Amino acid sequence: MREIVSLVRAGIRRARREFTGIVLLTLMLGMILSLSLTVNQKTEQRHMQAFREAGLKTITAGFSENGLAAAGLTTEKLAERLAKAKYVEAVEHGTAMSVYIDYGEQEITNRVLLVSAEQTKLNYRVEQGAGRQPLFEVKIGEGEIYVPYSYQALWSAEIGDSVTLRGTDETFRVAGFFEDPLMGGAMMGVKTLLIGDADMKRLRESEWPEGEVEKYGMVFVEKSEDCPWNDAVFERRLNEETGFEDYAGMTLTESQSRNYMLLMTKMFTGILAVFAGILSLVILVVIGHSITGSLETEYVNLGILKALGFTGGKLTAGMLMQYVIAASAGAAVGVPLAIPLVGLVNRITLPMTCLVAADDLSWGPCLLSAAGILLFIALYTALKLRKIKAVTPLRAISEGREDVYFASRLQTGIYQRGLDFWLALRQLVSGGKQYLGAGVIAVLLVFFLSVTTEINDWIGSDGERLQDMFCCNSRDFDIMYHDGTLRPAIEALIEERAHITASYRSIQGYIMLNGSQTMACVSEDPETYTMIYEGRTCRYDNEIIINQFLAEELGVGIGDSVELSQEGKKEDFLITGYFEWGNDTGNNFAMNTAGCERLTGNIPEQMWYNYEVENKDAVAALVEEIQETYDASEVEISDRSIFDGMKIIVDVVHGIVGLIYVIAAVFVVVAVSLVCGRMFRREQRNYGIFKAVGFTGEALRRQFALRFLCVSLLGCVGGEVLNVLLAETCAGIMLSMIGCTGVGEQYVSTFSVVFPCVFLCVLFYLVSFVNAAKTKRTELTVLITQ
Amino acid sequence: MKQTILEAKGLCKSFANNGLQNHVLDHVDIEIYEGDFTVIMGSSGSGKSTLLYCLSGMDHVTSGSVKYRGAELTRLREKEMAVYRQREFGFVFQQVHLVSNLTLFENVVVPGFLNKEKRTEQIRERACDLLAQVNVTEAKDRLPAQVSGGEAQRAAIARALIGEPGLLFADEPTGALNRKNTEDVLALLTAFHVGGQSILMVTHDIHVALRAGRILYLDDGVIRGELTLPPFAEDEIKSREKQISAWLSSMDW
Repeated sequence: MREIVSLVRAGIRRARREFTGIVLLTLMLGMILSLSLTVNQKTEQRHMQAFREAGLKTITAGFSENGLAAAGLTTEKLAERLAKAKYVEAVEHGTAMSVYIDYGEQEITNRVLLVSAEQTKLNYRVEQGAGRQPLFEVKIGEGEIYVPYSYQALWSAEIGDSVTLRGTDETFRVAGFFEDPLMGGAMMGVKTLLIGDADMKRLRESEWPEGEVEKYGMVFVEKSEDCPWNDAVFERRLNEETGFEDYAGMTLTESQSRNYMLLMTKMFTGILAVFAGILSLVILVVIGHSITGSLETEYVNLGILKALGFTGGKLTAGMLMQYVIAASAGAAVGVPLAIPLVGLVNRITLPMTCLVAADDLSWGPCLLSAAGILLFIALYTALKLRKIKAVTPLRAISEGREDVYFASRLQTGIYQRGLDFWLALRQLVSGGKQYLGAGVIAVLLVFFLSVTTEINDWIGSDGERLQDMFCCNSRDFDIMYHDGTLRPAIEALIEERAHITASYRSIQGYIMLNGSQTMACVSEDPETYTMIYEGRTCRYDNEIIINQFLAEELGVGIGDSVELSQEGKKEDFLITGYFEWGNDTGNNFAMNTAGCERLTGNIPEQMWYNYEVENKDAVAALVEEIQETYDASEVEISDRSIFDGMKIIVDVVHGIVGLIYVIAAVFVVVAVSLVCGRMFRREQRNYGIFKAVGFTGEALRRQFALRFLCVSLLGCVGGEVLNVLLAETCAGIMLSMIGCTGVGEQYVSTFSVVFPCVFLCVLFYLVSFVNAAKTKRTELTVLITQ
Repeated sequence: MKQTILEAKGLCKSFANNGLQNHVLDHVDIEIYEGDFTVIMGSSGSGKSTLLYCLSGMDHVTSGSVKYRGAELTRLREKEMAVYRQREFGFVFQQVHLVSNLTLFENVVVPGFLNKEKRTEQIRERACDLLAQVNVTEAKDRLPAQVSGGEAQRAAIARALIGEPGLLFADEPTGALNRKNTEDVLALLTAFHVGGQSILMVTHDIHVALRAGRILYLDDGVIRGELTLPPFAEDEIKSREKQISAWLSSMDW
C-alpha cells in the first residue's frame, strides 16, 4: 500500500495542473447537480408540507352560493352528499368571497378568492416579522389584506399597496405576504387573498349586485387511504357519483395543484439536471484525454517500475486513485458549495413558486448522485487504464513503440498561401485522436447550448412568444362591453385610429371534458384559432380542437370523440385538430359558438369582442385612451402586451440560459486548457524545430489556436446535426412542461444555430490562443536538451 | 583576403544553477570567414555546442557581441531573428529534428514557404533538387519515422539549405548516425562546401573534423588554438588525421 501511496503522491505532484482542472470541473458538476436536486426536492417537499399545514385536502372546490341555492342546495348539504361518496375519508367546508379586484391602478382579469381564518378554515403561513406564522395565530386587522408572494412578481406588490374590490367601495391595504400552496404560483390564474374575520363577516353579510362579487362556499374533500385511484380519477368518479362539479366555480385537486405549482421549478431544475449530465460526459472526455496523455508521457516510467517489480494492478491502482481523489475532492467541495446557491435560488424564485422551500441541502440524494458519478468516473478510468496491464517492461521503456509505423491515411496538402492554416490543418488531421476529446466536448456543448438558446429564442427577448402561447386566437386587443351602448362609439374610435380588419367575439371558461373541468375557449369565428399545427379548426357544431398534451393524457387523438358536459347536459364532440394554448398548462380545448349552443342551448351573453387592426403601432395608445376614457365597470380592455406573470418566467429563463452559458464557458476554459497543456508538452520539440527554421512564436501560436478553432468548427457541425435531429424532441419536452406542444421545426432558428457556434468557436480560439503563449516562450535550447 | 561572415567579440554565456553561476563561455572572440568549412572541436562540456547556439542566435548570450555580415544579432527581436533563420542561416542538429507529421519533402519545403519573395514553384523545385542531391528522392513522401536515420539527417541538411543560407551551422550532425550514414552526410557537407557553402560545424570526432579547412579548439569556454588545413582531398585523409591529432595533443586534448 505504501508504494501505491507514493505513486499517487508523485503522480498528483507531477500533473498538478491537470488534477486541479479535474477538481474544478467536478466541483462545478457537484454544485450544479446538488442545486438541481435540492431545489427540486425541497420545493416538492414544501408543497406537500404546506398543503397539509394549510388544511387543504385532495379536492378543493368553490361554489357560488347563489348557484347552489338555485339548485336547492347549500354548501353544508353538498358536503354531506360528498361525504357519503365512495372512497371519501373526510369532507370539510367553509366560506369565502369570489371577487374581481383592482390592484392599485391595475385591473386584474382573473377572479380572486377572499378567505379568512375563521370562516374558510385554511391555515396558511403568513409572513410576519422575520418569520412566517400560522394564519390561525395571526390577527389580521380591519382593512388589511395579505397577498401571495407571487404578487411581487405579478404586480410588483409591496406592503402598503391598495386592493379594491371591483364594483364596490371596499378598499384594503396590503399588510404582508403569505405562502399559498394551492394556487399561489405565478403561472396560475385564480389567486387567494387573506382578509381578517371581521372584514369577511361584513362582506358576507352585505348584499352585492350579481356578477362581480359572489359569496362562495368552499368544500375540501379528503380521499381515503385505500382509494385505488389517482386524484384525477377520484375527482371524475366523485363527480359521476355526486355531480358536484355542475355547481362548482372552481375545483382543484392536490396533484393538479402540485403540477401547476411545481411546473417552472421542475422545468428549470430539469434543464440544470440535463446540463449536469452533459457536463459529466465532458468530464469523462477530459479524464480520458488526460489518461491517454499520461500513459504516453509516463510509458518509460511505467516500464521502469514494472522492471522493478510493480505489477500492472498496482500501477493501475495508483493512477486510478489519482483521478478518483481529484474527482472526489472536487465533488466534496462542490456539493456543500450548493448550499448558498440553494438559498439564493429559493429567494429569487419565491415570487414565482410562492413556496418557501427550505434552504438546507438534500444531503441524501446529493451525496448519492455524487457517489454515483464518482463510481462512473472510477469505472471509466479503470477501463482506460487497462492498457497498463498489457504492456511489457521492455515495450514500456521503448515508449510503447510498435514495430511498424503507419502513416495517417488522411493527409492534407501544405501550400505557401495560408501556410498557417495548412500547417494547422495537417497537425489536426495527423493527430486526429488527440483532438477527438476537444471535438466531443464541442459537440456536446454546442448541442446543449443550441437547445437552450432555441428555448430562450422561442420565448423571445420580452417573452412575446410566451405571451402568444396564452392567446389561442389571433387578435390585437379585446374589449368586454359591460355597457353595450358604448360599443358603436368605441368601435368608431378604433376604426379612426387603427382601422379594424376583423372583429369577432370569444370567451374563456370551464367546461367538463370527459368528466373533468377543463379550460375552454369559445369563439364566434373558429378560423381565428391560428395556433393549430395539426388537423384543422373546429368548423361545425360537433367539433373541437384540443391541446395535444391533454389529448395524450386522455388517450385520444384527432378523429376521436370526447364527451363535453355543462349544467347536466352532455354531448359528444369530434376532435379535428391540435392547437397550442398555454392556459391551465395545456389542459384546454377550443370550440365555436355553435358548438357551445349545441351543448348548453345558448350562447354566453357576456363575451369579449376581439379586434384585429391594420395599424398595430396605434394599439398601445388606443388601449390607454379607452382605459382612461371609460370606467372599468363600463368597459374592460386588454391588449396582448406581456402580462407581469410572464415577466418573472421570462427573466428566469433568460437567467438560466445565461448561467448555462457561463458554466459552459468555464468548462471550456478548463477543459481546453487541459487539452492544450498536454498538446503543448507533446509538441514542444516541434515548436523548437519550427522556430529553428524561421517561424516566429506568434505564427506558431496562431497555428496552435487555429487547430482548436478547426476542432470547434467540426464540433459545431456535429452539435448542430444532433440539434437538428433532436431539437424538436428536447425543446418539445421542456416546453410541453408549460403546456406548449408541437411547434416542431420552429424551434430551430438561424440565431439558435449560429450563436452557440460562434460562442464556442471564439471561446476555443481564445482559450487555446492564450494557452499557446507558451509557444512564444519556447527556447530553441529545447532541441539541445532533448 | 577572406571576408568575415560572422564575428563574435567578448562572448559570454553563463547558466545559473541553484544560485551558482556556471560560466560556459568566457569572453570568446571568434571570426568565421565566407566560404570556409570551419570546425569547432573540444571535449564534452567544453561549451562548443553552446558557442554554436549563441553564434547562430538560437540561444541568448549573457554578454558580448555577435555580428553577421556586420549586423549585430544579439539585440534583434524575435521576428527579426526569424528572418535571419529563414534566409541567412541553416541549421543541422545532432538529433534528427524533423517535424514528425510532415513528409521529408514537406519538412524541406515548409521553411522555404516562409520566404514570401520566392514563388511556390521555385521553392518546390529547389526542394526537389536538394532532396535529389542528398539522395532521398525515393523517400521524400515518407514521414520521418518511416525512413532510416541517415535518410532523415540528409533530409535535414536539405531543409537547412532550402533558404540558400549564407552560413550553415551543424551541431555534431553525425553524432546519432552509424558509420555508413556518417560518411554519406560528411560527403554531402563537403560537396556543398566545395559548391561555395560556408559551414560552421561542431564536433568532437577527428574523423569528422578532418573535412574542415579551419579548426578551432575550445576548452573551458575559451578558444585555445586554431589550425588551418589545405583543402580536403580523399587521398590525404591519413596524413590529415595525423596532423590534427598532433595538434590536438599539443592542446592537451
